Amino acid sequence: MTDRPPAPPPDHEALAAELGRVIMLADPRAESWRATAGAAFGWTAIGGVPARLVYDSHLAGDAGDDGARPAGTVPRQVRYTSGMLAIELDLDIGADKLRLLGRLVPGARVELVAHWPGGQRVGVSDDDGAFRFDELPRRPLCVAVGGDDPVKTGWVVP
Amino acid sequence: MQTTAVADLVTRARDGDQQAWDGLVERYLGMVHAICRGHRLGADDAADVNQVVWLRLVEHLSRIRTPAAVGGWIAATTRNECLRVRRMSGRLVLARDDDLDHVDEPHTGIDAGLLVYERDRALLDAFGRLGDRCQHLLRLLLADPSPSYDEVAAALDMPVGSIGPTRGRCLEQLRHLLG
Repeated sequence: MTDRPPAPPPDHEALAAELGRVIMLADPRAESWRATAGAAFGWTAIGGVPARLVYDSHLAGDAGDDGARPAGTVPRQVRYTSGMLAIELDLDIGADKLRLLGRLVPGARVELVAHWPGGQRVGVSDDDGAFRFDELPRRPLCVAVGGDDPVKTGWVVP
Repeated sequence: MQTTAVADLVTRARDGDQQAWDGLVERYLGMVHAICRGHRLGADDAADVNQVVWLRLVEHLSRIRTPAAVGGWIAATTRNECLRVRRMSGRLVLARDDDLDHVDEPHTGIDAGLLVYERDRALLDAFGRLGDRCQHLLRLLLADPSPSYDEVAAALDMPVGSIGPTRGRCLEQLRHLLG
């Protein structure tokens, strides 16, 4: 009587399939991921022509090598344009909240909406085009500018 | 999914078709998850990256020159976002090619407690002993749906031609670790 031979090692494809099954079991993806991804399409429903990003102090390297800026230091500056309109944003980013100071050039009194995933806040600029939103959640932010020719920014990720 | 089908989804999503957008999500969500987990992001950071990637994509849709290549764009954007998050939290560790041969204490970022069978635990343990880059590559290739080699190359910033051979070496090493 002889010992049974050891089971042959699985070939690569069988091993890969086994590994895929185990990873899927042990590291499932939260269902909220799908909802989050699906909801991102809501940006298309925000009224306005997408403005073009022309300056971001983070991308310009002002934030240092890591692109991160400690809370409470110099605000991040972002500028979008659309036609003759410029939208200037200063984001003062705290640990959980951010303050948004903005200006429209040329100045005009119009309604604005600060959007973030899952929420929004309405404001109005003054006659010089200045506006301000305090205590916004530290989330990706999009600003929609009303008026005769509505415009919206892209997502600014704090 | 064929590239023509992906291109069609992009074109329709550009026109405001939510179903087409959902189709893109269905096609690439597993890849985004695999990339995030390959970078060992925690649950909150990974969820943030997922959100930013899709927000960037919807904003970027109208500017994509080659709709069929959107998967590569998603892969590269996810990778960059993961690196950004890791830099911000001071956890950046550059993976080198020789990481393929690096065997260390098991570390996968996966909770083996969800596994019932000892054999599965052993496989996960062996997987955790692979180098970071091997783990990342295998995890990505095993995502559901499976990404194309072009997308894997974009996610890992590696030549397409080296993916197959590297995969073989990683699986061989995994088999060796399993005894």
